[in-house]
Amino acid sequence: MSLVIVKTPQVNVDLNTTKWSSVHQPIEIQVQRKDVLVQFKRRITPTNNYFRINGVVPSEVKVGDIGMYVSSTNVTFNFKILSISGNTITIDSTSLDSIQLANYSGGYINFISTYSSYYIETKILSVDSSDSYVEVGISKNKPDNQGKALISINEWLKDNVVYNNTFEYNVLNKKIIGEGYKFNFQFREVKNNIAGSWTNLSSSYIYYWVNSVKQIQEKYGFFMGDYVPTFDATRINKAKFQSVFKKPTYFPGFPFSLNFIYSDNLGKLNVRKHETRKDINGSVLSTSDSLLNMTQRFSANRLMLAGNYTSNVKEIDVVLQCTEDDFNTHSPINNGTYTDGSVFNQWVEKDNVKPEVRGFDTGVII
Amino acid sequence: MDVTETKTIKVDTDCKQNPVFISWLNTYGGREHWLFHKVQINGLVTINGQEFEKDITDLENATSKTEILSKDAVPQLIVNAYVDVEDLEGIKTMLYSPCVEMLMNIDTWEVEGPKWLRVEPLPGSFPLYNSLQSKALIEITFNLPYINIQSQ
Repeated sequence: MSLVIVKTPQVNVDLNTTKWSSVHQPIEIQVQRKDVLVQFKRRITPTNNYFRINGVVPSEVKVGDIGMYVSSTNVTFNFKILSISGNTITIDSTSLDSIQLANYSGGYINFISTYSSYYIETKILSVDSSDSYVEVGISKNKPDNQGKALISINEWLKDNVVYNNTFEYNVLNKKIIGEGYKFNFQFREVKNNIAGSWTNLSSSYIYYWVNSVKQIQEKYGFFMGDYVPTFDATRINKAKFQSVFKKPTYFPGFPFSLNFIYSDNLGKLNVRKHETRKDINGSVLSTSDSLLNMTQRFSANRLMLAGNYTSNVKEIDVVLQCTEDDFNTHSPINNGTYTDGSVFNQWVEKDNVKPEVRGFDTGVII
Repeated sequence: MDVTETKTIKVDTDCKQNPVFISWLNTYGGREHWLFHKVQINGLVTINGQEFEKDITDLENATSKTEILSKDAVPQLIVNAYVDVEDLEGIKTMLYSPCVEMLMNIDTWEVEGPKWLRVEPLPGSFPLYNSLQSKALIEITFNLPYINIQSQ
């Protein structure tokens, strides 16, 4: 038995998958209940119809129970169990229509009458300032008739938002975890009031929230895609800084910062802030490059200007840049410790892993 | 390779009289900063609480007939700025920001770190500018934290 994750809170921005969402709008994970996987369904005779499944039929399933089958082409019907033998389920053939009598391959079965009470628990975890996981809550969701559940978890993550301005304005770039940071989640099924085991806490399911809100008809919907820096030469609309001003104003002698998302998409590449200082005519006076502090990544970040400009500097162009093959030599390895002692995975740089959830008792990955 | 847009920052080096420095959260999740200067208006709004009618037995030596049991006082600060319309587009977002703060230690923040005080822009309806203007005036009234007053 397992849950399959069908959709995670991410969106493609050109060549990259970005995982940053606005925390004031739904952050959704879609899961699909699949009690057992089906190899095929055969009709040997009009009264001999059976399913051959992967693994064994769960012990709670009895003759006379009702199951729901969804084929690989999404043909869906309910059936009654006539007999069970190892990995074969023979179904009651009386009053089956032509759809139910046909042969099928693939798909899955949910034992809907066996587990008359079925719901999914989603444990939502945020990350604190010492980079440890903290459980913020558990969402209980009942899937629909097809076994699909859409779980939105942003309301729990809103507890981590810090509205006050906590930046000290004394360093080039700094993560402000109250403005946007990591979260993760685990699932378990509760069948007939007996809870299964939680899925493993995996770094593949680290996603990110931002204390922002998107407007109607804005690109990427609830996602912050437009603001997520990616290392992509083909991307024409580069990630935006989070400022509403077309040209923000710096008042020397007063605090100034720009917000940006120091995203996971930049991997271990060194990031540099490039400044071009211009005079009142737009002529370039000087430029500078400063290496960002990479330990502040995976979070909403503040960026400062170099400051101490000569009085003829009237405009400064600011941009963040990366160079291919320019990797940080100390690959920071973050250990997320889970506060109740559960097992977790050490987090290392990883390619995007297809988001599937391990089965509980069979260890099957679908 | 650029991984972000190129953002142009204007530098405003003019001397500032009566500086009021405001920082606020925008809807993109970022922090904005603006300096108001020149003329501000300091105001005060007061409200009386319940009035208590005294029972006077010694009329000749009585000192009052009624007493106000509580009072509220909210200091107000009215700032204005005459700016380019494109800056006004940014400043107006302060009017609906859920977190607006004023810098309290303008002279010492670089040494001791900035100290902020929450202020509330007064809600209202704001006609900002018309399409022919390139510069426009905006006036914003802030309610500062109410004054703690003894009550009976």
